[in-house]
Amino acid sequence: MTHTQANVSSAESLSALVDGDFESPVLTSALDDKMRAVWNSYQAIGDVLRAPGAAASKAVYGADAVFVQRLMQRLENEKIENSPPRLTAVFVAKPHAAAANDATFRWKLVAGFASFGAMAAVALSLVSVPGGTPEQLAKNGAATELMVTSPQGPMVRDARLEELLSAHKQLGGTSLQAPSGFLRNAGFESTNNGQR
Amino acid sequence: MASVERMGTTSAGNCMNLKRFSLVALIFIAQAATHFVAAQSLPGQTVASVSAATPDSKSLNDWLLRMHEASKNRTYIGTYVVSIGGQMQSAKIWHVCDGGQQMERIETLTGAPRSSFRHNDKLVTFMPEQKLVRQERREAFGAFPELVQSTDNRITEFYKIKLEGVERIAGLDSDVAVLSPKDGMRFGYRVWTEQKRGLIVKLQTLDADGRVLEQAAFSELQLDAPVKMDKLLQMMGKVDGYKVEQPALVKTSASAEGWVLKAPVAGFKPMSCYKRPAAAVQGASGADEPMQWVFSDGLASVSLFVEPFDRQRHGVQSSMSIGATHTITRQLGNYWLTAMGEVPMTTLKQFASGLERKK
Repeated sequence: MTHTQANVSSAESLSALVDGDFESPVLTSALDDKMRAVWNSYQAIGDVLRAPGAAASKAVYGADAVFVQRLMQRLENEKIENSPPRLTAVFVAKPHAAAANDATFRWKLVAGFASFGAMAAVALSLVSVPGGTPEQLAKNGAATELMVTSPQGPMVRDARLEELLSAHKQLGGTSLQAPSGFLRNAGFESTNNGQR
Repeated sequence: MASVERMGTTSAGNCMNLKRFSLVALIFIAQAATHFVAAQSLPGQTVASVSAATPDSKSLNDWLLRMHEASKNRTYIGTYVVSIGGQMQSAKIWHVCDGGQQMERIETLTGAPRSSFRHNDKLVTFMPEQKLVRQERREAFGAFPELVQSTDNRITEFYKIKLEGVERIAGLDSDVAVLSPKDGMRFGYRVWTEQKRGLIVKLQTLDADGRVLEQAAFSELQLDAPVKMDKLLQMMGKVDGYKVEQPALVKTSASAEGWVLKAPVAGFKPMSCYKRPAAAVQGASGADEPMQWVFSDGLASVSLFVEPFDRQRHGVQSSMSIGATHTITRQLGNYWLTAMGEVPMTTLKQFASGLERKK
């Protein structure tokens, strides 16, 4: 095994560890500084993706603020590069993902997503998160859509759709689920988060 | 790279909001149901007349009306849990009725903190992280207002009721009723109502095969809890240090906006039509004021959102679902339609194919 392969393999193990795949005190204690940095990066990315809005910046765990900021900008910028399908990123989710992901909520693509196959997969690179300017960030603060492939099929998170959903729940919704405006407000949360 | 892919498992942070709508939702109804059902199940009364094969329209109407009535008169504190698409959300709810006035407070327990207060038609939502407070007004409150307002029999025409016995929810004996659709254009519901007070303590939305699409329930519930309306009102008014927003909603009509539904969809009637000024819509440009045309069959509803087509933002026609809520998007000439509702896809497709620009 070459040195590089060993690194890749360690990184994958770390990734699995991040996802709670296995627990190895030996591994965690054996982390050298470089691997620790990688570990922190995984944590940071996860926190940024998970944490809504303002929470993102402070939720980050052991990672430096500059990295987090750049990651968030990169996430924002991705959607321009992929304008037609408006995809921020494509991830491959693992089966246990949902359980580990309590605070997320996504639309399940049911059928007829014609361009799914044509969609470009955007990979986030850990080592090179290009910086985006705050101006760019502000300019692109509109709709954010995130697609995730999962065992249940493609899942989409779309800020705009969430907004329409909250509007729907405000004026419609089922009578059984009382048409309270609370719902609407709850739904608008994503709007604010989207603007960061 | 592999590691990044893994990351995806935990992505998509801020979506939790969607679920919360249903939280609150139940409650109103919830409050209502029991009277009727409870009456049915009292010893010595004729349970059989209803629970047997008598899903006649009268019993369903009675049941709905009692739920509506009961919803006006409940005071409680509870923890409400909603499960949609394998995800869970919870909130704590304080509810009080006092001389015809309704007051409610909801605190989210999952995800970003939100405090919502409703006093009759006035609604205030605090978002402490953003130091933002939203104030707005809602038109109708209470369960099944349209049912009470009108004499039409849409619900009984398209749904039937069946009582399914007694179960214990949140420590309380509750009657179980199933409202099932008579056609394939809508979903069914299983409703648990607490026997003493008529509060809906659990609700499931069911697909055609009886599978649960989403559900919500109280995990704990304290009926007749000491909830003070004046105290809640005080909390509701404390907006110091918050930026206050008052989103506008402009009433209009589909016809005035140039739209017509050429073929009605069975059971669904137009309820209202609104436009949202662009400022209230995230990411919207100046010219972008989506119209929202709302239809209801008495239980379920469908919203048709129509906005100018924008190549940047639109383009991929798709069908999606979250729990019981389904949505499809379609391009209609120079417009973009998003049809959304707690109904099967086929229903939304009928709406989509029936919607036309007025000539």
